[in-house]
Amino acid sequence: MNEGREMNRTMVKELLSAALMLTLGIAGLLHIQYGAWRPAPLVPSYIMPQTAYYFLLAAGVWVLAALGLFALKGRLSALERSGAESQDLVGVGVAVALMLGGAVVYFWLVLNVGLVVATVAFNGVLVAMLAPNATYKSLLIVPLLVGAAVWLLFVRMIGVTLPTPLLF
Amino acid sequence: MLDIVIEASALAFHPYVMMYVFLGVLLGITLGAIPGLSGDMAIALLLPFVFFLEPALAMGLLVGIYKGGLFGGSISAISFGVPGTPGAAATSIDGYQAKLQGKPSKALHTALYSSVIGDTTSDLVLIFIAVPLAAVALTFGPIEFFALYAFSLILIAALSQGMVAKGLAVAAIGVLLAMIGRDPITGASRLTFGMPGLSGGLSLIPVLIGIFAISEVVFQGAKLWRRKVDKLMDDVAEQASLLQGYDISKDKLTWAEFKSTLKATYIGAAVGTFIGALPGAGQSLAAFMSYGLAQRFSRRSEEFGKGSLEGIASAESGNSATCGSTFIPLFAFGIPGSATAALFGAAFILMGMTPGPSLLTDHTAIIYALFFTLIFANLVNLLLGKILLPYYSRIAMIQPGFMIPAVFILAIVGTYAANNSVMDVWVLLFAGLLGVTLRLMGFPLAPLVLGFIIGPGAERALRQSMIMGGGDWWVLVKSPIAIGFYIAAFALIMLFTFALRARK
Amino acid sequence: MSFKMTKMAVAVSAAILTFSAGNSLAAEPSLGDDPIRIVMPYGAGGSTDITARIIAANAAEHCGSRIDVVSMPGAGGMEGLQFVADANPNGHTILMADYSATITQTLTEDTPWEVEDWVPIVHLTDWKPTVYAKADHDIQSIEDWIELAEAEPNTLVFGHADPLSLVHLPLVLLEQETGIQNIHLPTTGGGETRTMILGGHIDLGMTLPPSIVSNVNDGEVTAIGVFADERSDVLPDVPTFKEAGYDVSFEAPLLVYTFSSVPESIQQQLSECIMTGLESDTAQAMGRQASAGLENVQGLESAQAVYRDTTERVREVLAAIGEG
Repeated sequence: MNEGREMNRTMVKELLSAALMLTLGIAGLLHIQYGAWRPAPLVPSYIMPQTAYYFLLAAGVWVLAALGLFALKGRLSALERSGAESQDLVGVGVAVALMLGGAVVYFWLVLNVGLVVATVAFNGVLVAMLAPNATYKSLLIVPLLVGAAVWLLFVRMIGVTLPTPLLF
Repeated sequence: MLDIVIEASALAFHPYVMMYVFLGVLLGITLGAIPGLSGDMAIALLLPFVFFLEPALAMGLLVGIYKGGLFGGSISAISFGVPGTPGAAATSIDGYQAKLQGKPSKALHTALYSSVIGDTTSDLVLIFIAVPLAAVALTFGPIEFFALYAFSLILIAALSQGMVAKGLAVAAIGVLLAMIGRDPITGASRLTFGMPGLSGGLSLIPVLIGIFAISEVVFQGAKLWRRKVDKLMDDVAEQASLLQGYDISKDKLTWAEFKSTLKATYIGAAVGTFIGALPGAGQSLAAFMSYGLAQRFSRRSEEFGKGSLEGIASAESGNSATCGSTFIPLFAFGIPGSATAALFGAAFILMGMTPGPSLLTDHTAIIYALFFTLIFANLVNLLLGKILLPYYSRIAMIQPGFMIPAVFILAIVGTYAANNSVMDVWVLLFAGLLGVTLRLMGFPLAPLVLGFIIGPGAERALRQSMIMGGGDWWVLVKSPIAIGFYIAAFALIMLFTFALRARK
Repeated sequence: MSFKMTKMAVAVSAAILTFSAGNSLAAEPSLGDDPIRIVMPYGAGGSTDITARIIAANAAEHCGSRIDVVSMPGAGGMEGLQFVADANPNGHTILMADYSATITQTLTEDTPWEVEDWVPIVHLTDWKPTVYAKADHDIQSIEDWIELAEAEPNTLVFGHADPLSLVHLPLVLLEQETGIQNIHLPTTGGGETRTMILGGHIDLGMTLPPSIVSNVNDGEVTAIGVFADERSDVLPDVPTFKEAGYDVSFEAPLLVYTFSSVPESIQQQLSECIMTGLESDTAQAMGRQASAGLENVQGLESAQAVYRDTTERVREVLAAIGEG
């Protein structure tokens, strides 16, 4: 049961990878055909991208062929690499939204409000959301420590160049 | 000769100079450990003071920072899977796995020793055979460089054992990312999707830190979040690896283990020294190339990628072995072969010494003093490393719930500060997202970064060769060195194919 | 030789030790006491960087606040220009660049500013593009080059940095003037060009004099001609193209700019305090030590005149080759 689900996941993963490679390759070749490329002497400007697209297409076909071959022989499980841990997709989704999405907001705040304030706030949010054994005390102390460290390192020592901040 | 040596050692071993070397190494290790920041940046910041310092003092400080920074990058690579400098990206592959197995101290010590050995080799080469090696480096024109890059690309394919198709595909994606920006021959913008901010291309630091470090941090964030919502306290294995449970006395690098990494270290030292002497090739390429070669020549190649100490040793020694040899083109011809060499060149100029062939004859004493300082700084690096590593090993074991957010924030601000570029921050986050996606789909990440590093050089070399050869493709095999590389590549493929078969 | 620690060195080491080097230099306000930032759209360590640091070290006391040098090479230097253009127009964020950033790029690319938006306030020096070849190459003079290029057009490989850069446009101009044709080979910069020359991979290259002085004195390369009105101070034996009878001169002025939104009184004030700083003995000594060519620094008027001339010339060359 569990094994079956794992195998399905591998199938999906491999199919998605192949689809990604083929799409990128075809889109790229179309772009070379119809995009605006400035003429260059002797070798076209798209020589390297073109080669890269061919490699992507070839790799995509290769992955599909391997899948087909294993499916025919009925040993799809051979595709599963030992030690490949199963991913917690929900967790990764949350982490991407929280950390990468949060970082966009964070850096906007750094540019428009101030480095230290933004750092303390963002660090507080991250610790609150991520630290399994965060207490109220640590929530108060840790972000201030990180803020102080960032200030000491980047403002005091390095003198980082940022637009004049609104706050601190 | 003897009086010069005495004079130079009086300069190099003056107490103030030695103090500055200590200070520099300490500063370098600290900055190198922060993702995005590197020794280069500290050197750039300190350039104005070079005006006011005695040359020997300035050299001591700058050399210390540079060497400390080269090693410092591996600390965060091993501790958090987050390479502190581009050169440490290869170190993070095995280093972080070793830490997860509860061996941070072994990993860090392997990195320290191999870094010092690689670095010292490279310094000795600089001191004793700079001139012949420089002559070899000069014979590398576009045709030879293209062959070298093609050779490296074949090693990439070799890096991703068992998933050659996926390895090639991500290498292609890396090349494509590197093509964004200006065409090197016509100067036209390409693949910028209409965004002027992309017209200068993507810089190495945000792409590399994003792909390796940010994606790793996000994955760790995901695990932490899952544990938090499931109200699981740290499980037993995790508990053991936390600070209170971690017993550093059981995590000592043994003599036998050290000896087993020596072959990898020597491979790294040789590859790093050679790549470092070529203008423009760089530390990351050296590290990945020696990692690839060491894996191929290792008796236990299957352990690579799973916390192999040999993997750490080869990557770190290759990275650090560029240190001395990157000065070879600078001293021999006044050509800065890397960003670091350019900064040292500027420091020489600020001190009234023009880099180039006349440097050694016009300023003999101070250059010999610099040689002594280069070697001495390695000893300082070793000593400070020995003193500090137990603390770093413990920091590596601090609760990730508090460490990961801090590392993430430092990586963002550090990447911004490296070039004062807002665009770099967005590129960093985008590269992080790409890294997460590729990991989820089971792609290896190292080939992508190598494609990104090699792509522009390979393209330029190819197109320059074609321009020089008037559009005749045969120009690519009109050089004995280039033919040598192609034969070596072919031989390696044959060797590996048959060696692998024979082993099974 | 005895080892001497100057007072300055002690002070500086103390400053580095406490990691507060910058802040200790602040003085009483006049232009405002915020630090002045000199933005240069290049990586650290180049000749612009070195000159900027000489300004920072000497002009601070006259401008009334500390001066920081900021390197912003992002987006081919565009990010640096953008940062200066977006800054509060109080004269505390200024630009230092040669003409390829402010003129060539503005004319050939889609930029949010015009050439006239950059107001030069100090004319620091003129760089003199110099053509050179390996010492054992057949070409050892301007005449050799023209002769060979006329006999066998399109065989000589000429290495220059980026296309349309200040070491490429003079070549284009000379080819227009004489009708000779060479193979143009773009490189990553002066270092790569020099490697290729020394390795015998290409025939000719162009660079700025200070970077090849050492190789010339050592007899590795020969500088064959200078695209300038007068010979270069560091290479006094090398003739100009004018002397050889070709009316091609294309010096590259190194200028300090403010954005046009900065009030004129502040432009004037900045120009004067930087000039005063650079005329000091320490600044001149530093300039000589670094061969920065700061012996004849000119103020606002000369800077604007030379900027207008250069703009005109770049426009002409670009129009002739169908760019911009």
